[in-house]
Amino acid sequence: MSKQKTKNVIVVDDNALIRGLVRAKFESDGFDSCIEAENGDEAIRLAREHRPILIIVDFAMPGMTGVQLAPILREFLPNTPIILFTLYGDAVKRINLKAVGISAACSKTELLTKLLQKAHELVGISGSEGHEGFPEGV
Amino acid sequence: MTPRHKWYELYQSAVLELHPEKLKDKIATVETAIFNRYQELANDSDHSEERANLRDAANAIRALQTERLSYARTPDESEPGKS
Repeated sequence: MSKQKTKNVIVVDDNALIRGLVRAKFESDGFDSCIEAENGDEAIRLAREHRPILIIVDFAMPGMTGVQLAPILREFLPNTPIILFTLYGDAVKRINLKAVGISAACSKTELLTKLLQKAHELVGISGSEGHEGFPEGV
Repeated sequence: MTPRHKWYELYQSAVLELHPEKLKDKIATVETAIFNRYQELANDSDHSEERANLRDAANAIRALQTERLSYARTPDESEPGKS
């Protein structure tokens, strides 16, 4: 039997409650583990150590934003999907997310299920529908 | 304004907070409350006024983070409320 790669995810968010909700959702739906990081520096350390198949980053954090974190992660994880997950869709609308290495964006104004669907789509665990960028008029 | 929800009281408390450490905690609390309220409203096409208020509150919180808590700003980030 061939050894399967662990389906682990890192969620980076300074809000512990939201991190916990994301972790619970992912660990109950197709992912082996969801590792929590509360800021960019911790995320970089954990990503080097665990080599996740997917990283979810908040935008607004102390130290560095998720948009500033993404290209640093890209240096050593060039093919790992990175999803920006933020409440502040207005703030990131003018930012070229692809240019900084972000694979997709999901808004915290939508159901958490949307984030999960996008994650499944990006890592190919199962087919699902998602969206690119932020919906207008939220 | 439509009937006030818990998130709005938490938001008002954060806006009026002057102590940085307390402000940080209050912002985390109101962020969670706004997130939870959006989850509740996600499958509800009504509440357009409250959605607009939630969006304005989120923009104001982002301004508090960058202006009073020195959170990082991305250079090409839109000014809060000026998207």
